[in-house]
Formats: sequence, structure tokens, C-alpha cells
Amino acid sequence: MHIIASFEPSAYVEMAILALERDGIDRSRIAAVPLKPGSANKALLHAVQRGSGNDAFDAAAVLGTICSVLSASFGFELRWGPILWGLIGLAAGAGTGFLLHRLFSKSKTDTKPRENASVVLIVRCEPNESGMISGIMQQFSAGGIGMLQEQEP
Amino acid sequence: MNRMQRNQAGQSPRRFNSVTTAYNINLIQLRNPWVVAWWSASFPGFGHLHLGYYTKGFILIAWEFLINSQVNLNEAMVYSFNGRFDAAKQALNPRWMLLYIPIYCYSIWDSYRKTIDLNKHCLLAEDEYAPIKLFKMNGIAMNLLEQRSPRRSLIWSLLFPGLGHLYLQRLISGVFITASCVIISYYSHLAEAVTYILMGSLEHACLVLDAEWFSYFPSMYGFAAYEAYVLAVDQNKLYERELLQYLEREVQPRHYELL
Repeated sequence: MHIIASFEPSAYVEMAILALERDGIDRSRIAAVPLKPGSANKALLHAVQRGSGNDAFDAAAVLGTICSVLSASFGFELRWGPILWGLIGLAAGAGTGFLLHRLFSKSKTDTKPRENASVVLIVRCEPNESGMISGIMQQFSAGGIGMLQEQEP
Repeated sequence: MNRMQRNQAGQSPRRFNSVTTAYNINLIQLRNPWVVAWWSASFPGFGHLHLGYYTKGFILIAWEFLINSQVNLNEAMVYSFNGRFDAAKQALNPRWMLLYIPIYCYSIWDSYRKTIDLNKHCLLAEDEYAPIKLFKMNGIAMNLLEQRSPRRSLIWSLLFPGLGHLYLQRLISGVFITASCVIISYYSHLAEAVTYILMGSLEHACLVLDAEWFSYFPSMYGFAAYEAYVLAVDQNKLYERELLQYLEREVQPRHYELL
């Protein structure tokens, strides 16, 4: 039979494999299958011209910094002074950046592929080992654990 | 033979997009050229730092500090935004002023152009399955590629610029940004002014601040916070790619039968 578990990609996967090996499960009985995010084959030229990453955060940071520089300058003539006005400008600009991105980005309607990959770990074992193996997988924060039983003919 | 097997066979890749040293992880990611150009415009050299061109970035930033303080540009900027154009003209130093412009424009143009080149390189390198180095250590330092929380990185950077970079093991830019901000704080009397604000006397805070030096701060602050977040996300992606490459290479027995 097989025990199948899913993991977030992190050091826990490696630790789980190590723990299994220590408890006598040979490497040849373990297979790891990374599930990469379904890349919706972005147009290459678009990626070159526009990059990737978090557009909303880009907009917030850029607008926040512009507004912070401007309002800190104005602040020298105002009662609250440049530090407080600089911080107000940063917050207001960042908020405006987020909102403008919300309003004008077209990507809302697209179905976005999941960003993060995950890993499926498959272990071949005898029925009497299955409890020990799923115990180890739980210990190392498996997302879900399942079993694949052999059908008797 | 596919690309992955070729690299396992020990042939070094033509293109790669990350280097791990004991003091720094330098990596290439897809970037929006307009955003990079904007960082160069906010402070010449920031765009280059963001791309990973540290040497060029530091030289441009040092130049900006030198010429801006000689021209009194920040002070003139504050006067201009407040409509005091005569005071602005008085503040500017004509002996240095024209030297500012060509290098300013060059740094914006160059970082925009470099981003597009690096984006092409990045896509091609990802396709080559270039090996990623997980760990590097020497006698006095070490660096382990680990998952880091972008939000924590951002919060540290907002507390004081540069701390987010140090959290991400970006020792060189982290130390540079922290040191610059300490120097700016000292000459602009920023820490003093914050104390006055906390004590509730806004007038004193306003009087004690130096406009020329304080005006460096907002763009430093914004850039450091932005980079701290973005680099944490990039580093996590790199970590993930390394782990998945390892699992595909080492934990997939060749004749594994599922049933």
C-alpha cells in the first residue's frame, strides 16, 4: 500500500524524509512529486516589459514615497512639521496607490494561478507500517494524508 | 537529455540568476522597469541597488550625497514646493548645479535599460535549471537560504530603514542603508525632533530640523521598506525553487511503481 501526503515546500519535507529513513523506510520506497503552480504561460514579451510580482504593492510604495517627499517639503511651512506630514503623506499615498490599483487593474477578472507550489510525498509500505508513517507525516506538518490500498484480486 | 540532466552531469550553466555568498544573496528576478526607473529618480543609485548592481549603486548614491549637499538641492526643493522661488534661487550653488543633471538622467535611463536586459536573462536562466546554492560559510560569517516572512521584514524596515535587509541576510545593502540613515538622522537632528514631537512641542520639532538633510529621509525610508518586502518574497521563491529541484533530483527513484 501507499501513504500519500501533501506538504508546503519547507524544510519540514526534508525532515520528514530523514525521519522516515531513520525509522527504516528505504529511500527507494519514497518519492516526492513537486506540484508547481499552473503557469498560465504568460507572454514572454509582456514579462520582459512589465516584470512580475506584486503590482499593488509596487503602486503603493511608489505613490507613498512620492507623496511622502512632497508632504514633508510642505510640512516645513505647516504647524505639524515635516516629520508628521511626511508620515501622513506616506500613508495617504500608499492607500491611494492600493485603491487606484484596485480600480484600474484588469487582472481582477482573470483567474490567477496559485502562487505557491506544494509537494506530494508518496511512501510505499506494508500495512503494519502505515500508522508509524502517517504519524511521522503529521509530526512534520503535512497538509493532508491519504492512503492507496492495493485491491485484492 | 533534458536541461536538468545536463546540469546534473556537471556542465556549468551559461546563465544563472542567484549567487549565495557568506555576506549576501544576490539574485535576479523579473522587475517592472518603470518601477526601477522611479526608484532611480527618487534617489540616483536605488534602481541599481534594487537590481543587484551594488557597486554601481553605491557609487551613484555617494555621488548624490556629495552633489546634493554641495548644490543645496534639497533645501531649494523645499523652498520651491512652498512657492518661495527667490529663496530657492538663493540656496542653489551655481558652481556645482549643472553637474547634477546628466548623471541624474543617466542613472534613470541606465536602470530602466538594465531591467529589461535582466528580465530577458532571468527568463532564460530559469529555463536552464541553473543550480542554486543553499548554504555558504566562511571563518567569520555564514548564510543559509531560508524562508523569511515578508511582513516581518517590512515591519523591521519601517522601525528603522535597513533592519529589514539585515533580517534577510543582505549584509552589504543593510549596513549601507542603516549607516546612511543614522548619518542623515544625525545631521538633520531627526531623533531630536521626534523627541520633541513625543513631548508634544511641534514648534520646537520644526525649528530644530535641517531641511537639506531631512529631505533625504522620505525616499530612503520608502525605498528600504519596499525592498525589504520584495526581497523577502523573492528569497522565498528562490528557496522554494531550490527545494523542488532537490526533490526532483534526489527523491524520485527511477523505477518507482505506484501499484
